[in-house]
Amino acid sequence: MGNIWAFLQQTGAAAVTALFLLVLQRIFLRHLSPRWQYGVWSVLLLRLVVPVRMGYRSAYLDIAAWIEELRVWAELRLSSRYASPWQETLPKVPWPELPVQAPASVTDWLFVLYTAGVLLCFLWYVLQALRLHLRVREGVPVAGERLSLIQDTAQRYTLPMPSRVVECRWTATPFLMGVFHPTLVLPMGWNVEGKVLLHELLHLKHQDVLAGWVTTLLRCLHWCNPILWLAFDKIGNDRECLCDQQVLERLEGEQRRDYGRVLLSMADNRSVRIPGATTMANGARSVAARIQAIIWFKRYPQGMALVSVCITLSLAYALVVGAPIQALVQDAGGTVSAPSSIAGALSTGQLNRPTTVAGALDTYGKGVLLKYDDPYTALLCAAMTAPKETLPALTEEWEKTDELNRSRWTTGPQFRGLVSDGSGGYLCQALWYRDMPEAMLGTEEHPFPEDGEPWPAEYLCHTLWIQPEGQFWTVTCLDEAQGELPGAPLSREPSFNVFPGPVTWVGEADGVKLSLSPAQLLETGDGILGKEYMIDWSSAGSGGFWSFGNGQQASEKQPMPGADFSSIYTGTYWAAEETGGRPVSVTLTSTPLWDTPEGLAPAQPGRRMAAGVLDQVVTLAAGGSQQGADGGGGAMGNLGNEPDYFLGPDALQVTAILDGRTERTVPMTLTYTTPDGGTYPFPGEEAAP
Amino acid sequence: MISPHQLHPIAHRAFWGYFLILFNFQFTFGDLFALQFLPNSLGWWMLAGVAEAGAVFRPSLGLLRSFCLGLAVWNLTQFFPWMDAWLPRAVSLLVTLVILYTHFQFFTDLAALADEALPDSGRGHALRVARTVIVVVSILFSWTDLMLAWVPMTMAIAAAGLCAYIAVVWQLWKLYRETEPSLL
Repeated sequence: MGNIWAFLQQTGAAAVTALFLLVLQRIFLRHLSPRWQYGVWSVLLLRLVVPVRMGYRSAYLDIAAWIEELRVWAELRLSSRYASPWQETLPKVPWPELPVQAPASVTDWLFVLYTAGVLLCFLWYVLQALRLHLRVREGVPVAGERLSLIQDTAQRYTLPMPSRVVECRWTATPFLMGVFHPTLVLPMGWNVEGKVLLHELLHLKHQDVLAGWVTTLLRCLHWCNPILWLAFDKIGNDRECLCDQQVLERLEGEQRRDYGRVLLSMADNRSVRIPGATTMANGARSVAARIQAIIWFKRYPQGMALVSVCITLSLAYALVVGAPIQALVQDAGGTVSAPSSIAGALSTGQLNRPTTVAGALDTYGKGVLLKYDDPYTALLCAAMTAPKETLPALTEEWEKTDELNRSRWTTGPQFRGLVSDGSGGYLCQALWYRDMPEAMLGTEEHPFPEDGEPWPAEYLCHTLWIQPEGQFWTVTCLDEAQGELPGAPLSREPSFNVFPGPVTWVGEADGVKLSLSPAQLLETGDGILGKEYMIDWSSAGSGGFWSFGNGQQASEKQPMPGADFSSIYTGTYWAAEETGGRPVSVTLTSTPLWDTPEGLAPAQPGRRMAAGVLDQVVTLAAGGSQQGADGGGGAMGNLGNEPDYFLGPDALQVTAILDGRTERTVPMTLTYTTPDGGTYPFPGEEAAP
Repeated sequence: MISPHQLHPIAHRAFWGYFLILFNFQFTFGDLFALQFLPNSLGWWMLAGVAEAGAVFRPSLGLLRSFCLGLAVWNLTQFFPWMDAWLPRAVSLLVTLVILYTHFQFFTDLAALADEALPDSGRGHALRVARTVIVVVSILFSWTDLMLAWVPMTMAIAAAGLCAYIAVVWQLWKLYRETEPSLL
């Protein structure tokens, strides 16, 4: 735990668990045995040592989201060194990590105060134990008949003997201390009472002194949590009740009543809470409860152990282990909702980051789409997908978003040209669309469309770099381009998909320049949103690939961090330009290749859907050019997330036959391109001229 | 000491109560309403009656009456599927544990009564085995909620659980039949 928020996460989760267990104990008070009443606290112990949301899992009674929202709200107003509003602060370990920097804010100082409290608390307990040890060392060893009685009791009930038995003047009741050299301490001149001895020897058998030290350590770690102190006190009392139960199981009839009388005689004794020691006298109220339990004493039925273990395991699984967060999100419909606050959006985003490539694209795409209509969801999407270091700038930009700026994109997102970046990440284009406003039409440049002609539309294209960050995915925008669509969007017109993808292979042979780009079209989750806002979609009617799911409403606008791809349409963009000054006929063949352990190879049938073999015959005038998009295949439904299935090729084997002459292989060079024919700098590489 | 004649109506009610609780047929109207053909609430209410009648012979059985009545009220939510999303998970967890314990104690007490009423029949032992089965299956079903993504496992558990429930109800049917006055 490196800051006060991580501590609050851990102590808050433990407190809620403790409260739940206290309620449960109350319900099962007379139904389940003292063994279960004590044993169930193992669930709290597990909760205290297992960091909250470890392994990206969420347990029942999970309050992490609220604490994270509080953190973001507070840290946006502070300049802390130990915590930040831009990074989640779930604990990595259940103990405080000593700060190396000086505190700079209120929350930093609170953490320093907490850490100091842990050390002081622990020091105090150690000193108390040391003082007890020194006082007991001066005790008088018990010998003779009294020692024999103790040995007889241990032998009769098959219990271990302590290393030492001493008597001291300053103690009123017997107690046991020491983990490695257990010592039984008796009041000076005390008449050996067999039942009391039995009680203390049972503590020795079950290593209750060690258990006490564990509780003490946890008490120090959570010294400022009163609920946990209450729980730790209850644990101590339950430990004594269990010991009473074990004593009573070894006694018969009148002996059990005698035991109750002995306990009653200790009711007036002051409760002694010394770390590293167990004592029968644990306070008047606790003694009263234990006497009540003796009255209720019964032998529990065979099989009680089974149901006790089952209940405890269920509790441990529900309250500590939990379920994978991704599965919980999927179970709730696959979407994540944004609270209507900056802190809520940022904290929710940090806790629900995309776990699939399709989920990252889906989230990013919806963030841009909803920028003006649902700004908090847009901020949520940014928090989910942006690299942490870019969050401050994104949040600042979000706060300046002009609500009156109505340059919103109505339809999208659609994804294009997904390819590997060669180092575990991916490049992809994300597209959004809108119809050109009527006010802009009627000019020479933008005439009104004739009957049957598509309504002019615009596109926004972000070239995205999707990178892994642990088990999550981040999205960085490398380039933004905007322009008019060459054809009707969301239609089957081949002219629609005719522009370069995020990477383009270029090559030249005998005065013909060739360019080829992956141009497969992908949709995620529930598909493209806002189709009904595009005139040509609503007038195109049903049928065909593009209108799949045309009955869907724009209601599923919430991001889906674990989304799958829901459709793919095969595509390859090609362009040919004559540079030699003479007309030429080109027969172009392009075979997509992918990286395999054996090297670059074509795809096995059915394993890759992004691109197929391109066979194109192009006739070019001198200085002329042509371009197009090849496609024809596709799939839709819940297509999963297997990258191989959706990725564009890692290389192309291109051959060209010019004017029917010899076929020749054209060496191709990879460039990073934008839809308008420009280039962008890929981090770590020079931009192509 | 209970006689077979006294145990017979208790066994009868226990059989029908568990039949209603363990098996479920419903017709849903979206998320709004689910028409239950074998309502769990009625089953738990019948078991509350068993607890009340059996308390004379086994005080621990009487302690289950409040649990059974509470579960009868809780299971009214079955009729309204939309309530699932509104119910706190902590309460659902509590209810799961109460059900688990109630199954255990109910069968423990029924087995003890069967041992008294039918001493050499082995019915008590069979009911204790049924107790173990129902406790283990209930635990596995509660864990499937947390194994959300592991579909093959949840389906296997569901199939095994159905067989186990049939076996449990069969044991209760046999107890009812063996305590029938005409057979003794």
